[in-house]
Amino acid sequence: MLNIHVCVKQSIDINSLEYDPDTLRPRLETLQFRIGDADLCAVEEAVRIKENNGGKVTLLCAGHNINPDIIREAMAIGADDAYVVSDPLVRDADQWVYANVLAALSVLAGQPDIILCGESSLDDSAYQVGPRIAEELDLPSITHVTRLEVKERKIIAERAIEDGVEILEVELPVVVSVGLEINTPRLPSLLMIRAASRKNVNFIPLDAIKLPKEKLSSLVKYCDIKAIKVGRKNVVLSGSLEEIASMLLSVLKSDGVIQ
Amino acid sequence: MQLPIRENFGLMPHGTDITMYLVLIPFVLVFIYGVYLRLISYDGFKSIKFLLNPALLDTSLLIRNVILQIKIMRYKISGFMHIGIMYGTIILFFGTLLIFIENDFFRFFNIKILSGGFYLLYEFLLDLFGLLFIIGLIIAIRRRVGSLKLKRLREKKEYFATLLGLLFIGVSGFIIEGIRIYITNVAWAKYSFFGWTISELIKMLRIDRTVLLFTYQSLWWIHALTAFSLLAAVPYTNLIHSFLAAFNTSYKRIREPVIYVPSTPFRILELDAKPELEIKTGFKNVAELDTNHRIAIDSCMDCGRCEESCPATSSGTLLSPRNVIQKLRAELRYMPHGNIRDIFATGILSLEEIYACTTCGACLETCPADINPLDYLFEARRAVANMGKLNKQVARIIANLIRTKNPFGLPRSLKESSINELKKLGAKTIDEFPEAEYIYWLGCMALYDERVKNVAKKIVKILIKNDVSFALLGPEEVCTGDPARRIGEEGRYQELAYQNIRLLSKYPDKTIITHCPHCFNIFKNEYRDLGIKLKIIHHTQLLSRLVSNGKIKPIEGLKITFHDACYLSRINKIVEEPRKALSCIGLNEMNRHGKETFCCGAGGGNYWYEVKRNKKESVLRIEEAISTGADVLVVECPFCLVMLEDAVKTLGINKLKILELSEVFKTE
Repeated sequence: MLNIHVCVKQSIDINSLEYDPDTLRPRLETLQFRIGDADLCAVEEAVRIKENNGGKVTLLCAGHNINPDIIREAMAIGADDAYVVSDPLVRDADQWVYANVLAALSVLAGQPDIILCGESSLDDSAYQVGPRIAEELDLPSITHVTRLEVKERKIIAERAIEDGVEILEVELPVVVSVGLEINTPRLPSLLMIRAASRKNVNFIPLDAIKLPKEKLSSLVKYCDIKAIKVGRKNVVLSGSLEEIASMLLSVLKSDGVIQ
Repeated sequence: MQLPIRENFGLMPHGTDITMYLVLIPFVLVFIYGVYLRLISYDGFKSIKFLLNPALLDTSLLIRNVILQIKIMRYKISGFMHIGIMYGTIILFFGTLLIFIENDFFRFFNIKILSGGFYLLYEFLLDLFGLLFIIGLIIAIRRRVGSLKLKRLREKKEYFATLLGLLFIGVSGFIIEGIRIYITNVAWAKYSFFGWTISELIKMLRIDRTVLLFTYQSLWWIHALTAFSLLAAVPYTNLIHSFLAAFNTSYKRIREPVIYVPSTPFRILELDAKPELEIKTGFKNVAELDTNHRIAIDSCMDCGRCEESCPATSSGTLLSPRNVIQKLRAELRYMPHGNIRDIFATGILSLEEIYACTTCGACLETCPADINPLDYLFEARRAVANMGKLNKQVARIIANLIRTKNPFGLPRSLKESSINELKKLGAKTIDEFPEAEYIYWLGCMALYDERVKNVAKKIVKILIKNDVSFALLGPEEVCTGDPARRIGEEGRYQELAYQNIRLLSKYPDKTIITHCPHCFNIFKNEYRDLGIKLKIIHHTQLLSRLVSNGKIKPIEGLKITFHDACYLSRINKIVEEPRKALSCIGLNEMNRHGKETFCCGAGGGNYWYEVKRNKKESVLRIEEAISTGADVLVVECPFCLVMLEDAVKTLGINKLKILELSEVFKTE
């Protein structure tokens, strides 16, 4: 029986992120959270492995103000269990801290055969946590996986490289990070989510995983986030075709688009 | 003249009656076994209780649909054909049965029923209905072969065999009668007018008496054996529809004034109280259907009318409502002999197929047997949603509804700015104007789609100009949940519905006006199941009132035709009002109009996802509109508006303009 851990992140839903038109800073009061798409693909893949090979799927999540309903929505895909650290200390964490907490949670949740991660989170999109967990736990890591198959104690993974596909065979245990191409995660119906509400979400106090302080202090500090303002100039050129063409050229030159 | 009586088995050898009964036994056994198989497939004992429950019988429907055949009489030739075959069968069957009863029962008491005036009437009626029976069958067969062949009818050996069998019974019956009349030469023979005509023919042909007698006796046996075979075949073939369709068209269910309301298998508020409750919705195999739904699919005659009227079939999708029912019927018939199979795993129904349905209701409007393909498609969709197997595009709509409470997935700020635009025209929100008589429900299309936003602006102008006391709900208004429900995600539908119900229940005395037939329908017919009864009108109803009071005038010089929205005309039977509103202009109707309207292709969630099509429904509809010679196509639904306008653009047509009903009227 396979023990599969899946790391998920309660991310800011960037699709519903709104910016203040004056300061260009995100409106924090309208922030919405959800599990990112790549993470959901990781959960779906774990559930498929479980359906084919048998096993248990445990979700791991680190963050601040974690909403258990958001975790249950991901569990409704077919996970059995969840371990969550929800602590203000993880609030502005960088990928190094996330990876440390998740690795410690994985140890706490019991010997994994496979740790699955979405290759990048919805909000930070740093592509680091998977490999960092592998480093932390001293396990092999496979990234950008587009197809996965488990055979006995081996995993066969196809990974997308620039102009081809790399096929790897690795002994378990292993850390795998997957992208959106690997599958289409099922959308749990409300009834499936309700059924999942009977499943247990274990909130673990940060102290319980006993991480040294340096492993909890971020290496990276966020200074500022600003939106890029895109607008139209709404200039209408009129005249004969030749006139318009030369006017357009001079406008483009004066804006420095062409030289 | 001596008393007319029927001489039974007169020309047959002595003892024929006993031999006949012995021969009949195996046929009856086959028949009984067939009935047993059918009952098993309908869920056994429960189905007997269901079929024989007098409380389920609606006498008025029985008279309308079964005795008077009103539903099938909509189709003139088919109606005549069906009455001929049906009443022919009934009269001939009971006529023959009467002979057996007299011969084998009353004879022992020396009672003769078939005598005197009654016997003469009997002979006349049997000849009359025998003739209608043959004419009906000839029509039925003629429509399946050669130049008059109908495309919707399938060439299946079973269908030809039963029709030819019945025809043979009719024709051979008359020949036997003719020979009998010729030989017995009784004085009252002319009452059997057709049999007598045949006897006169025989007289002209001068056939030898021994040959005639031999022909009579052999034909008599073949006639009897054919009749027995067809009787035995009833439970195995589509002949069983005689009983099932009669039942299906006359048992009670929600019907008027709406033709279709999906069932509510659970209520999420009740689930909150009882979290341990196990809910089952949707069906993955025919055994999960209830008895009446199984009986309904078994009553299908494969006439193909649903397929002919289906927009999804016409536009070349994988869906045909007839195929859905026939595939399920085959599965039902397979059920007593084997394992119950998963309809999705075996590919009996594909996702592509069940999501091509626009839920327009054309199929059940047209079905003479009152079979409702929508029921099965809805339940199949619910099963898909409950397995989390919605395809990517469809799942995205649900995800949008969850996150943004509108199917577009657009942010609330856009909704707010749309409402502000309407406020600039003078509309007030309910908080600003709590005394308002009407609430104008905008719906997502008017809140997020630029084209439909203009319709809302026009309606607001009309309302203000005519001093209609109305208010908007403001940004608290969220999607009715209709797309979620149509996609099969009942839970998400109810989440949104309950949110609206909490909002709307604050204003129990107000009437809602909406320009969206889908919002209208779900408010009027479906929120009821969640415990709220709303007063609601569609804006066409208001506009028709304003027109008849002379308050609004149309723009002059328009040559118009009108496209009915399925959810108003067919599902809610609102056909007259928009026509009344347009009566001041004059209307060139399209062939398919009113309850027979043709869907624009957007219904049932299809607006938001793509299904493979050869030719879009909207394009087919535009072609139909152009053929009327109109230069404006008036619609009454925001979805029809966008779909048909898109079609006009993709076809590159300049001469046809699409207008919403409100846009036909002047506000300046």
